[in-house]
Amino acid sequence: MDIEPLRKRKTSGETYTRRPLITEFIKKSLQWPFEDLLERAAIRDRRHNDYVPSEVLVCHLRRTKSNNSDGRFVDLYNILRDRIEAACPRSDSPVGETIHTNARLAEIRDATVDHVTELIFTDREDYDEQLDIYEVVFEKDVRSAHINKLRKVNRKNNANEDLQDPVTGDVRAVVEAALDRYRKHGLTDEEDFDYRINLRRAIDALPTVEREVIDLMLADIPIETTKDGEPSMTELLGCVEKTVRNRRDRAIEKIRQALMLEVKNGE
Amino acid sequence: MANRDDVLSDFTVEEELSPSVLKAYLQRYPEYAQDLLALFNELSMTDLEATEASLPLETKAMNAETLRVQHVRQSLFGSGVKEFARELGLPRAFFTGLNAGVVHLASIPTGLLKTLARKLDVHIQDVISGMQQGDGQPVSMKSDVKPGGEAPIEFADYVAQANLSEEEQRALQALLAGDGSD
Repeated sequence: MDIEPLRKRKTSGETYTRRPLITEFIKKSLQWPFEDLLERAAIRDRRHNDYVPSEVLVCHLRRTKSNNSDGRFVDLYNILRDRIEAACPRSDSPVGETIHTNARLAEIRDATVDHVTELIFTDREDYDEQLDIYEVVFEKDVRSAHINKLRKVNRKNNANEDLQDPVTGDVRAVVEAALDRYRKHGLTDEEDFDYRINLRRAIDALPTVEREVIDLMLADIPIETTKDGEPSMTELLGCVEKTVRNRRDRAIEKIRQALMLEVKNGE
Repeated sequence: MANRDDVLSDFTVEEELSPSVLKAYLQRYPEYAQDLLALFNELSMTDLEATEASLPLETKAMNAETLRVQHVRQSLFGSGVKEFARELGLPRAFFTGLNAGVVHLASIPTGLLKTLARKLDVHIQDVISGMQQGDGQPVSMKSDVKPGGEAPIEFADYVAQANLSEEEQRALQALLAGDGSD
């Protein structure tokens, strides 16, 4: 059975392509009776042997156009909608014995589901290349849509830019060592993975302006530069050097506290 | 200048999401620095969380969503349909038939779904859920045809069979053209 290639092109001109594993899975799943596909699609545990990746389900959803089976479209849409919601950050959290709903996060989650829903229906009327991305990296694109909605809704104030005492060189050194470890090591080692996820959570918890500086540090972007063609933090963020340093120092102290990194004199 | 959405889409599908890839994009597209940084953080979290133990399911905010879907059903199929239909300039029967048992939901134009969502102050997904639930009679998801019933038809055929007056057709065209943008 032929699988229609994706049509969306990158800015380089190259067409988007499905990951090889996804393509193989699609080919395999096209042999299954539809009821079997639905039964497996209901499995939500990724570690289950019969788990069906969301990218595969999107491909099947789009194929219902040609066999004109609305029951199938709706069945698959319902499953994907649940997965879109599950891919968004939680809006419910326990507070004592009750569940507290963060209304803002719930609103953004609903807007994200709406966005993808509209894309699915628009694609059904006429091929929409934007849906191609969901056949490549479904969950990442849901999160990308989510962050887009978050940035539209978010009216966070910038962090207080008042001058503070700079952190000591020792504190900076220990956190920079922590960031360096994050930058250089892969995900294969379980210990390293725990470290990376906790560090990323600490970075994620920072105010936006501080998080940006830390991620630019991770990307080896200098605060200032005289080299032609090399971007600097001041240019990318549109602020002066002193502001960047203040944000960096505040972020570093917060990360240190979050990770409970100990600072020993002279180390 | 490359389109912002295209740049962010390309970044999203990168096989390797590392600081060095981030740097390459920042060098190429400095004008999108803050968007790229926000996306890098979000996707890094996604990658790490996906690698962690299986994701706990997000439970729906059932109360809020249930109320919205109930509102849709009441407006399209229940006591609210008379007023809703009058407001939109279409016959009541047109709306009461807009459910999964009568019309292929997938054939309903997106413009109409968006307009209905806006008019009812709900989300598109709520309109779809409401249409699936209809007037309360469960619609079988295993078969297109209810026992003894007609198969759902395409929206275009449904409109053709609705025998709308010229004025009603103009009202419908206005709904179909609905933007409903953010």
